[in-house]
Amino acid sequence: MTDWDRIVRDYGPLVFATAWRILGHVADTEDIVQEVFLQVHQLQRTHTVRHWPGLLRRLAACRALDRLRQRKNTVSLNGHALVDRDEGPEAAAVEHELAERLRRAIAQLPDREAAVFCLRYFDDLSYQDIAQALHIRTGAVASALHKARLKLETILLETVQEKT
Amino acid sequence: MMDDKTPSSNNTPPMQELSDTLRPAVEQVRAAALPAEAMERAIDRGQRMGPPPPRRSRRWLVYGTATAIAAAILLSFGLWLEHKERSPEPVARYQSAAESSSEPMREAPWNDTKLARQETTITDGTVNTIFDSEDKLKVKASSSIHTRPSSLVIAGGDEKPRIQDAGGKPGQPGTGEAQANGPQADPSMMNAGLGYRSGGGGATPSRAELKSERVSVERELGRFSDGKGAGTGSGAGSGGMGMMGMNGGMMGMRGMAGGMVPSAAGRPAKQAADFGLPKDRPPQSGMESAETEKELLHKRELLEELKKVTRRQESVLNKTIIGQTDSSRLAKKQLQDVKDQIKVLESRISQLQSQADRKREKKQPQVWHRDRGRPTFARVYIGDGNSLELVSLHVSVIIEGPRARTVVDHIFRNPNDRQLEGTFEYPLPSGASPSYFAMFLGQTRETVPALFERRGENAPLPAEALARMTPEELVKHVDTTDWGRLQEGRIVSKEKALETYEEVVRGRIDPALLEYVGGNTFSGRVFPIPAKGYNRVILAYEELLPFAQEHMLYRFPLPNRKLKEMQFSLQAKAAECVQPTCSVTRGANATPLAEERGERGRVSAPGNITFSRTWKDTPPEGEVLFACTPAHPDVQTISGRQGDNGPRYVYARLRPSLKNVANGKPFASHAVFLLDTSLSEHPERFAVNVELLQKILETDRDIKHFNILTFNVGAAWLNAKGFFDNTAAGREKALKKLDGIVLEGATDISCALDKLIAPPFDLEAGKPLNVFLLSDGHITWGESDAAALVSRFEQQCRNPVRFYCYRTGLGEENSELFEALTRRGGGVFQCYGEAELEAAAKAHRSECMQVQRVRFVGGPQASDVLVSGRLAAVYPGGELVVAARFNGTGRTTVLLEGEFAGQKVVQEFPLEVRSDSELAPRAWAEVAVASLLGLHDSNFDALVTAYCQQFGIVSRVASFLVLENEADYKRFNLEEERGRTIAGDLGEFISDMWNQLGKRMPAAKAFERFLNQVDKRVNLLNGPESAHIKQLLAALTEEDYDLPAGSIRGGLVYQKNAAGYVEDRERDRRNVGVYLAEARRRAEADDVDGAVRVLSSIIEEYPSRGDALRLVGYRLLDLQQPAQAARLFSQVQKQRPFEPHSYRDFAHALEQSEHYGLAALNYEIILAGNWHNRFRQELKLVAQEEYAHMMQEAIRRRHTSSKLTNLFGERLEQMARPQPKSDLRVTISWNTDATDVDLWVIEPDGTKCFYQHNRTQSGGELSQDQTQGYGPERYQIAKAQPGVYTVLVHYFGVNPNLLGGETHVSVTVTRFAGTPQERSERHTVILKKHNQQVEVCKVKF
Repeated sequence: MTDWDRIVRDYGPLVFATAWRILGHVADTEDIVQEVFLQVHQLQRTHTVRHWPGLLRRLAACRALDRLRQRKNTVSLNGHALVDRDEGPEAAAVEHELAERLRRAIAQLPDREAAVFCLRYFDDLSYQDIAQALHIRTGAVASALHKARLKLETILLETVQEKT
Repeated sequence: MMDDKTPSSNNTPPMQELSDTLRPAVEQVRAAALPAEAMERAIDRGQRMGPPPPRRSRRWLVYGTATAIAAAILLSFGLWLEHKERSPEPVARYQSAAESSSEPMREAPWNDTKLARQETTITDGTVNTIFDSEDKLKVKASSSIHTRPSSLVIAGGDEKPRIQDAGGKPGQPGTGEAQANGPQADPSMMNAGLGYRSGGGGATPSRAELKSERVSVERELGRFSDGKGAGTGSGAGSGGMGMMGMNGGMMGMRGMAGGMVPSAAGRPAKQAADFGLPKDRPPQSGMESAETEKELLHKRELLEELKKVTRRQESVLNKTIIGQTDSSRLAKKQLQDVKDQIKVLESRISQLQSQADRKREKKQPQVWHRDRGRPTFARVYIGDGNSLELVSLHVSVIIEGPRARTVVDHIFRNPNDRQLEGTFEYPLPSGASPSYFAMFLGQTRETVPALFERRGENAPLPAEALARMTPEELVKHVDTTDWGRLQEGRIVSKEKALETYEEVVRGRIDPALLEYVGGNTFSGRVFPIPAKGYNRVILAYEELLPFAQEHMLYRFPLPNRKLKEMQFSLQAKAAECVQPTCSVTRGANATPLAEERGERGRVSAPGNITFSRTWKDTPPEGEVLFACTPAHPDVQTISGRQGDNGPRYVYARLRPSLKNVANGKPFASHAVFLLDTSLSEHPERFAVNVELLQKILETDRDIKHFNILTFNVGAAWLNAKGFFDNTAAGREKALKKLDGIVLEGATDISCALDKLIAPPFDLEAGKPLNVFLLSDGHITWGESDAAALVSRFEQQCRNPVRFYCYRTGLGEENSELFEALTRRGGGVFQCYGEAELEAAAKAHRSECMQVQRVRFVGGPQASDVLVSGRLAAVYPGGELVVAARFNGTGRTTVLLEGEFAGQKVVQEFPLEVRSDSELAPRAWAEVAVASLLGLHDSNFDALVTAYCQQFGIVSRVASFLVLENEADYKRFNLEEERGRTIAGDLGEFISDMWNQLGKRMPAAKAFERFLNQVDKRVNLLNGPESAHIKQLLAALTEEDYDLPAGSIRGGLVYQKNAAGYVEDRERDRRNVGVYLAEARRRAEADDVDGAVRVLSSIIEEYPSRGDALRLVGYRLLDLQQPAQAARLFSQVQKQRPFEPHSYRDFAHALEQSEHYGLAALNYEIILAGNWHNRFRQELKLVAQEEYAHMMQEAIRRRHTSSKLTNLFGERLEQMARPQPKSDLRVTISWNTDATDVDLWVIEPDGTKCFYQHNRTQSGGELSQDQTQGYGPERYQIAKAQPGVYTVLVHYFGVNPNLLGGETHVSVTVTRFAGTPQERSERHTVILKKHNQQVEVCKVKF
């Protein structure tokens, strides 16, 4: 196995998972994984990568958020239910909608806040890991998280009120 | 450093940092399982980006360029070879060698491995590459290789084989003879000079050993063919023949793989090679006599040995040669030469084997063979193209007189963990009709239990005794503790059977249904198939055995897959069969296999001969062919009684002895060939048709001019400007146009007859025409009533016409059509094999006996005398089937009275009425049912069902249905017809009815009859809404009932224009997606007629399936072909009159064709019907709104009579809520029963309107949820909000037994409905998986 193969094999799931949670859409996620690796592939020819997971996570989150913003007015319609299918399609539909709403809200956040929020709550990263991945200070991580949470809550509450 | 705004410590679990608003949403995101498959795919994609390519030095650049050039050369050459080897195109390729040499190069896949390999072997522009066996290609190339097709020409003497241009350049004059003998030449001579010269690495000991080993094998091989080849072939021009030999071999290898259309360009030998048709080629002189089976076997062994040695040498060569030297190149070249010769030898040995087999089988009649790609045995399809595994098959056949009964006992295994519903399909042989259907439901178990076990005190019976039993008796010997409960099929009216079956499936009880689906396929739906269990399905069928080349034939196609056990046994009466033979034939040439010729004929029971054979763990393949000469070929009779006290039934095949008297004066000098180019003719029947066509033209010199009218769903003249001359050039010209056509589409005879009535060229009125119908006649599109079709043709055609039809034994022919067409002249002939071609081609010129009367004299009293196919004309060599009932036993005589060659003739056939045949009563009834069905009057359906029930016959109107118990049959009133047969003489009754034929029933009357039948089920004509139907019936004129006129432009599609589609189709002909994709492609290229043709192929492949008809119907509406769609929906309506959707779909198509009257009648039927409660009331509401809309449109457009307009006006007034105005209205309907598709609409504010939230704040409303199939579901909003509405469909409930598991949803989106700005658009969405959601469109306001 070449080095490249190993890198893709080792970190592919990580990239995929980050993008998948942000996007919730199979085809888009696959595209993002490809974009990320393409970018890394070009990068590593001119730079030395010290911390692969950090770099890949950052790229995955950023690219996925870009994609999310591009389709913030559309609805995810692929065949993969977002929850256990045993719960039935009604439940699936409701839950699908909740997750989708959150994603749409995230798409409205500034880059840094969105990325920090996703890495923290979707990928369970510590502040330090997030700071390392995004090349920012730990304090900046905390600050961005705080803002992100507030904004997201407001957006979600507004949506619920509109509906009711 | 931590920011002071951070609400929690860094060590807090992240989820606890979230508020109650955010947490559930985040949890949902995290809960979504990673799609593992997609992840793998993404990672693979990532890996494929690969490491960055290393930078190349200048030197490598030079090599790289050289490699690229060499690769290009190799590519073209390799491609050509690959092309020849693969040749999957289902299209004939009959170019001569010269033509093929100019064939353009094509692109071919070329992978990195191959390129890498070349790089290692390249030196200064010359390439020598031997690909290993993985590549399946053994290519030798050098810088001097031609990049076009080449043939190996074997030179004499010590010359090495060389590649020569295939363009037909003559070989060297001195070597002409040897060239002609290419495939037969002495290998040792050919290989002279091939002694292995050591390469750059020097000879290794192993190589030297290998060399001597090979030389000895070669010498041995040469000894066998030496001398025999030397005497063959001759002359200077024979170089070309040698090459033809090679090409022929390659074509033979291609065989029928792609199911090609035959070339008609007058090359019968090539046709045979490509079509797998048995051909009696003249044996090559000097070869045949000396060959024995033993020698051939030995030769095969030697050849295998030579191949082994060559492989070892190759391996050594690959390991030892490093770098490129002259000697290594030479070594490789020589090795390749040897390989080429091995191929030649292999081909020659197979040829010799075939010749030897043919010689041995000379006495056995040769028959056409069906396409091997087609299923020849039963399958149980369980959706998504999957079928259950057939574990074992036990076949027992008894032959009595001219008839045979075959009992097929199948054991299937369901390897899945869940219970399934399956579709059992059985491709019956030509003329066969099922007589028994039963199944044991089985249970989940690991092993196959014994077929017949000891039952109580009784020991299991011997196999021979079991084989002799009727299926009813046979099943009594099955141990039900092992196999589960027996469920036997009963004959019930087809329509009732279908409805009851579906009703019962919904109730989760266990029914099964076997019905006629068109062609020769009977289809049974089986439920339940237990998880991990064995199901046993027993089917029996009876048939009239065909007579060909003075032999009576019985055929049974064997499964071409390995079974745990396959047993075949055939019994016949020794006294009735002279020289019986029974063998297993395999392959295109019908040659028995040496290792499978183990059948034994022996006297098993007094007076019986039995042939039996068992295969264990080996694939049987091929077919069983039994042939015998009847003891009395002119009259074969069986007679027996039903029960102990019933009357005696006699069934006799008469073959009048008529001299072949050529018809002095030809009927016509002009001939038209109606050539069927539909999918069902593909490919074997078409090949026979083309051969027949050629032969007729060549044989009948009185045909001076001819034309060919090709047809499927459309018809087109091959020469639109006039007739071809019947000369060699004329024939060549015409047939060349048929070269390489793609057979596709459904069969519409009416369109062909319409074109025949009005040809685009001048055809003098009154000029007689000979019309040869080259088709199986099975109508799957357009008018299907043969009598009505012919009657209309006779009324409109200005020329006297005689039709000639042919039976080929390749599947069932439409006897009703053949008989209707030939009622006023012409004839039906048989051509079961190559040997009958000549006679069949001349048959239409012979005088025929016009049978005027058939009666029995002397002996017991006869009644109910029936003649199969009515009083048809009998040609020399033809036959007539007569059946009757008798009140006692004794000798009697059949008198056949008629006219032959202008003279009155009476032929006598003495026969004896006995009571010893168990097949006779049903055989009589088969004739009775066929005669009644031939009347094409739905009023007799109950009568036909009564006969079918009494004698166990599945027909167009009666199916087998298996229900759980007697009470169920009573509950559904399924046997109300039983016993209601004709009290008087059935023969006289049918004669009276036949005299009324030709008088077409008025359409209005026919529709009223239909309504009366439907009324019994859904109470149409007596309900509160029935007055509207009656009013409409009174207002409609005869023309209003006509289906909209519309024809599809005929035309031929050539393979070169549809290569991808044809290849996909060959891979899986049942894959609906292939047809849909091609239809889309053609529609996008503005070839709508072409798209319709492709779509109609689905109907041809799935005739009579409601979901297929609906699916194609919706697509036709998408393609703006409402007239064609109306025809399909009219078929659905006749098949499934108990479903309101059948009327709704039909009404939509009629409405779009502006046939408002009939459309209104269909809407009224929906509104008036008392439908099954699974069709919700909402359907009526939607239908009413659609009806109102249609009436408003009709009034606005003024396209109806004033009477109808007034009626519409009144009706609109009566409707409480005719049609609300809506800014947006979305309606979905789908083509499958027992499925649940949901309509979702996301409104601009994100609110989703779906079945759980069917009233939104902004006013959107969704109709009631339809959970049992078809729809409709409808969303509408009176005042749309600004923004985007997203329309989605969701596959909630899937019926596992669907056409490829798919449901096709038709979505109609209407903006500003009910206003002058109304605009509609249609979409079709395919749903495949449970829970699938698909976005249909977005609508912006």
